Amino acid sequence: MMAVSLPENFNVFVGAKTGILKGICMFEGSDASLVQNIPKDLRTLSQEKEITAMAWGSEDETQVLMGLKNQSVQIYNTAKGRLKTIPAENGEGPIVGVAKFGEHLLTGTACGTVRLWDNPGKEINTGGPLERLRVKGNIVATGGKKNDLKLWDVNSGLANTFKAKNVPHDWIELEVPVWISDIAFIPDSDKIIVSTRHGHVRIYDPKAQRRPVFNMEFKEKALTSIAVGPTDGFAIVGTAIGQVYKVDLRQKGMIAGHYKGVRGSVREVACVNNKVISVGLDRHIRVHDAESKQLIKSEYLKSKLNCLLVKSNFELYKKVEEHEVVDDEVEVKIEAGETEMDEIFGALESVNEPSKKNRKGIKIAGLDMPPTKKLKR
Amino acid sequence: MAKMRKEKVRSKPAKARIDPKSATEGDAADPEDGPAGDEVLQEPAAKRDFGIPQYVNDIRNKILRRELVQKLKRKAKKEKKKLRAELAEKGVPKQVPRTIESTREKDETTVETAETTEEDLEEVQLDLQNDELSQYFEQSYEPKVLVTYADNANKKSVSFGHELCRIIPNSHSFFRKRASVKKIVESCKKEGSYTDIVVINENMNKPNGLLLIHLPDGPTAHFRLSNVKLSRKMHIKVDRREFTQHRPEVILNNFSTRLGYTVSRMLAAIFHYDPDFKGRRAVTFHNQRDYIFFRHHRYEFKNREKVKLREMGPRFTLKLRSLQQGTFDSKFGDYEWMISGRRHDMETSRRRFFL
Repeated sequence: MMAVSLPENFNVFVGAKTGILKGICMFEGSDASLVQNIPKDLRTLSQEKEITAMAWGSEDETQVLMGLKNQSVQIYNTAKGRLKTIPAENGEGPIVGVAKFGEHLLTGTACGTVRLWDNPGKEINTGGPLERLRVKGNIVATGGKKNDLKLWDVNSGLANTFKAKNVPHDWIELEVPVWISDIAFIPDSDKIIVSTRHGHVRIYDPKAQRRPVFNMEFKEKALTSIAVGPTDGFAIVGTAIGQVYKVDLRQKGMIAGHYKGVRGSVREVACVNNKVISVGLDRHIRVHDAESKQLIKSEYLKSKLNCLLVKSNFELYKKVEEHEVVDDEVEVKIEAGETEMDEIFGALESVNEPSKKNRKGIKIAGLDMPPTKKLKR
Repeated sequence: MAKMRKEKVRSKPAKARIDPKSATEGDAADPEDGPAGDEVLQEPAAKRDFGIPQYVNDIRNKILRRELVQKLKRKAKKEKKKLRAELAEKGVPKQVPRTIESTREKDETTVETAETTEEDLEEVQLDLQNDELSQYFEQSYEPKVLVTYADNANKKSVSFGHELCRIIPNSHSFFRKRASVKKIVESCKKEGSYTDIVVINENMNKPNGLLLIHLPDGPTAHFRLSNVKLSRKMHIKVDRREFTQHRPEVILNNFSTRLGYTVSRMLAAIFHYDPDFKGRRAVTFHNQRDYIFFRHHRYEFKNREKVKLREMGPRFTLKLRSLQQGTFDSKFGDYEWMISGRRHDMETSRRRFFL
C-alpha cells in the first residue's frame, strides 16, 4: 500500500521557480493527480535555489538532475528518495543545462561557459550567452541569444563538431537575428530541431550542411520550447504568450493544430506516447491528447514552473479502488508460561509492517507489486 | 356575465387599482389589503365611468399621479418590512440574493478557500515571499514612482497624471519626449532610485491604458483604463487644501485568485508601506468581476459605528489585459497571463472571473 508515494512511480517531475521539485502521478479520468513536493521542509528554499534546468541522470530514468540558479546541481535518486546537492560554480548566471556522463557532471551556465566536471575538468566558452544546453549520447548542443547552435563532443574533450551558419539575409538585406530558446534531437537520426524567440523553427543536419535544412517562421510569436512531435515530421512548440502548437515540418512547414487552454508562457513542452504535456508560468501542468487536441488533464501546482521531465513510458495510471484499511484489534492472550514482557511485545506491531491505522489505501493497477520486480504496463 | 369575470384567473399581477377611499384616507386603510385595496370600484367592462380613475395611470395629472405612486410604494415597503420582521421572529432564514458574484465559477487558483490545506498555503506563501514584490512587503525600501504619458499627451491625460502624482506619495511626472518604454526602464534602473513606472496611454483624446512596471525586474501589468473622472470635474465641493501630503492607506478588496494576489501586490507597492493614519486618507482598489475600481476618500469617524466618507480625487476603472514577467518587453517577454486577443477562448462563461 505504500507503493503510491514511492518516488519510482512518479511519471512526471516538475521543477518550480521557488526551488521545489515536484513528483507527479497522473491518473486517468477526473481523478486528481498525486503531487508530492520533494523537499519536505519548504523553509530551506529561497529565490537562489530556483530550478533552471532538469535532465535525466541515468539511462533507466531513476536519477533526476537539477541545475539551480545559484550554480549548484541537485541529484534526486528516485529509488532511494534522496536529494543531494553539489556546488558547481562556473561563470555567471544560472545553470542552463545539466547532464551526467558516467560519474562526471556537465553544466552550462547562462554566461556561455560549459564545464565538464571530470578530474582535470574541461571548460569551454561557447562564444555568447546560453539559453539552452541539451545532451544526446555524447553530443552536447548549445544555443542562446546571438549564439547559434553549436555541437560539442564529450569524448574528444568537448571539441566543437558543428557550428551552425545563419540563414541568408532577408529581403532588405538585413541580418536575420538569432535567439535560440530550445533544442531537441530527432530520434533515429543526426538531425537537430531548434526553436528561436524570433519565431523560427529550424532543422539542422550536421552531416549535410551548416545552414539549416528546414526553416519556418511564426510571425510575431516568441517560441520558448520545442519537442519532437507525436509522429515523424511533426514537432510541438510552445510560445511566450501561452500557446502550444503542433507544427508540420514537411515541405514549407505549417501549423497543424493548437492545443488550447494554456494561459501563461510555456516553459517546457514534452510529447510522449501521443500525449502533449506542457508546463508554464501560469502555475499549471496540462496534458493534451496529441491527435484530438483535447485537454485531458490540468493541474494547479501553486508555483511558477520552469522545467519538466517525463518518463519515456509515460501513461495515465488507472485508479483501481479506494478502500479503508482499518486497524485490527490486537488481542492479547495470556498463555501459561509466557512472561509479562512477552505478552506486551507480542501485542505490539512489528517495525517492518507499515502502520495501518484507519488510512485510506489507494490502489493503482499494476503498482501493487513489490518494487524490485519490473512493472507491467 | 359579471360573475364569470370575477372568477377569471389572472396570470399577471393585478395592476394597482385605486380605491378612492383608501387613497384619500392614506395610512388609515387596512394594511392587510394589497396596495390600494383590491376592492374594485367598478366592474371592468360593464358601465365604466371614464371620469373616475381605475388604475394609477389613469390619473392624468403628473404631480398627483407621482404622489400617489410614492404613497403606494411607501405602504408596500412598510408591509414588506413587517413581513420580514415576522419571518425573522418565526426563525425562517433570510434569503440570499442570487447574483453573478455569488454564483461565480470556482477558480482552482483561489488562494484561501475552505478546502486549502496548510501545506498548500505554505507553498503559496513561499511563492509570495520569493517573488519580485517581496522586498516592498519587507519594508526594505520606499517606493518612488515615475509617471509618464504617451508622446505629445493630451490635456486630459496630463491632468490625470498630475492627479495621480498628487495621490501617490513620492511620485514625479515627466513628459515623454519620444522616449521608448525600454529606454525609460533602462535609465530609471541606471539612476537607481525609482522603483515603479506608470505610463498613461491615450487614444481618441482620452486616457485609455495604464502600464505599470515594477523595477528592477518586476512584473509589467498592462491595464485598460476607463471611466476616468478628474477631481475638478466631479462636482464635489472639496477644498484643494484637503489634498494633503499625508500618505494614504491602501485598501485592496476582493482579490481572491493567485493572479489577483499578484496584481494587488503590484498596486499596493506603488504607495508607501507606512500610511499616515492622522491624515485620514484612504485609497481603495475594489475588484468586482475583473474590473478594478479606484476611489480616493477622506474619512471621519463620528462615533464607533458611523463613518463619514468624503470622496476626493480622481476615479477610474482598470481592467487587466496582460501580466508579463520581467520589465517591459512585449515581443520577447514571457507572459504570466494574457487576455488581449483571446477573449473567446478565456471568457467561456459569464460567471468566470480571473482576479
